[in-house]
Amino acid sequence: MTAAPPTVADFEEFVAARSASLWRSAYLLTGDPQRAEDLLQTALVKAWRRWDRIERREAVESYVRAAIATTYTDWWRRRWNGEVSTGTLPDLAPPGADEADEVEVRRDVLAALDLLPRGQRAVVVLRYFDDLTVEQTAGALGIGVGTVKSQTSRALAALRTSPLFAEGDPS
Amino acid sequence: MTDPDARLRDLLEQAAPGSPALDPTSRTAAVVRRGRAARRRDRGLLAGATAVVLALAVGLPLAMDGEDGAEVATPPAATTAACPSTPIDVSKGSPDAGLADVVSVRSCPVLSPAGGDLAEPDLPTTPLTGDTARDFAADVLALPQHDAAVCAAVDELPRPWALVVGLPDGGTEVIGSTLRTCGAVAVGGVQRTGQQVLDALTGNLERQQSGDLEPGADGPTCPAGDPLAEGADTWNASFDIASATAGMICYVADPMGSVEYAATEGKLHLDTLATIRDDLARHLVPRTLGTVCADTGPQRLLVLTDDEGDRAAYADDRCSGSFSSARGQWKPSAESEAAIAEALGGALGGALD
Repeated sequence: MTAAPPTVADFEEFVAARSASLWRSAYLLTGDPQRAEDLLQTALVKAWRRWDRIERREAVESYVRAAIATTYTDWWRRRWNGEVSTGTLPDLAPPGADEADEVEVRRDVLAALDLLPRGQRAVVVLRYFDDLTVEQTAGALGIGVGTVKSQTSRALAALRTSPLFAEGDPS
Repeated sequence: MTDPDARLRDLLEQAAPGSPALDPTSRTAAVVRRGRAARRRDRGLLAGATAVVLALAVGLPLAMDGEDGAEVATPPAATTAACPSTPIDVSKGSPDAGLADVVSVRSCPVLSPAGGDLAEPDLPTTPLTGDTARDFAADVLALPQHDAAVCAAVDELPRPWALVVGLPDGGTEVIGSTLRTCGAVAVGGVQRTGQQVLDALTGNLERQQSGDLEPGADGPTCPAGDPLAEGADTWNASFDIASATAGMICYVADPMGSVEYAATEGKLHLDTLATIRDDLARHLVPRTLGTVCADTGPQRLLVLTDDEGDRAAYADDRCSGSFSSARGQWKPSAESEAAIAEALGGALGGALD
């Protein structure tokens, strides 16, 4: 059975169902809630403008994930010259005592991700947070499978220098 | 011993907050609004590019950034450009402004041409930012070339003005002149009329300040201005006439003459809208001499909207029977006049024959 092409009315439904998950990916890329929202909205605008040309509903999320990743690398390559790791977590909500550990982990993970080149960071988020395969990651970023493998390897090597990640490293 | 891949997945899962602050409904609305604004900018840039091609054909210099500003998002760190610490001297005009990508636009203090003092400010100083700044750029780039002949018999008093345009990289461009109706400024390689640039500034500023960036979302309505064109969107040069999906005709009878139509306003139905839209798109031409005239007789206004919430207006208030906007003037065909009359409940007494 062939799936019906998505309608404009489906867009709001898609955003309602999937945008929280997509925003979390954008957050791991940018490390900032506001930039994550702007990045997500930019990717969604691209999808919205091509909505009547996206033939299958299942393709929408892949399209948006790819748009997030490529827009992120494009921003930082072309426009964003002021990226500075502050080492402080933006306030999403006032943490309670039980949340202190979570906040600390978040800060350390973001600090470790900040040390990665943007291409490697995108590969890590797509593969290990979005659970894309090597081939899907290559397709999303518009790079070769070999490049994905080499960037993954370099990224993991860099992350291992963080005590946080090294805890689970068998090597 | 923990699988390192699983450890990495677990840490990323912990690092990503559970949910964003913005709810999906607000996000959808923001995305649709940004998408519509991007489409409007696309059309403005296309119109600007067309104007540049025409300028090249007559030997005017070209200095236009070819970057596609519609698809590239601006990182949120961009800030509004500040005015210089001293008044701007526009006595020698301003260099060509590209306006290919714009973060902010604001009116800034200028030197008086009389003696170097600060000129009396008469423009709003609130900056245009974000989408409305980009909409302003699209409107200016869609303006026709300045017609110096219109000013041949006009002795306009100097009224200097300057706009500071903020760029994504933190740089600025200045647009300004000592004149308005007769002051041409180079934008995108084409000379544009200063007053039309300022009309685009104030028009977009009104939309920004009212928070209504989609004024045509509910279809066209007749404005309450007196005259009719007061406050109407005749400045909206980037409006794509071919995309108009609804239209309305507004009418005010000649206070000293006869009533020409049965109604003072009426919506165009699909057929009459198509007639007027096609006629307007084909026959909207640059203004000519004789159209600078304050019409004290009957007034007519055509208001068009599109599915993206944009709105533009064309006013018949220049003594010529033609409708005009920032893009030019349009003399309705007999079929269009009939469509206008039908929308207004019919012509009375054959006054428009």
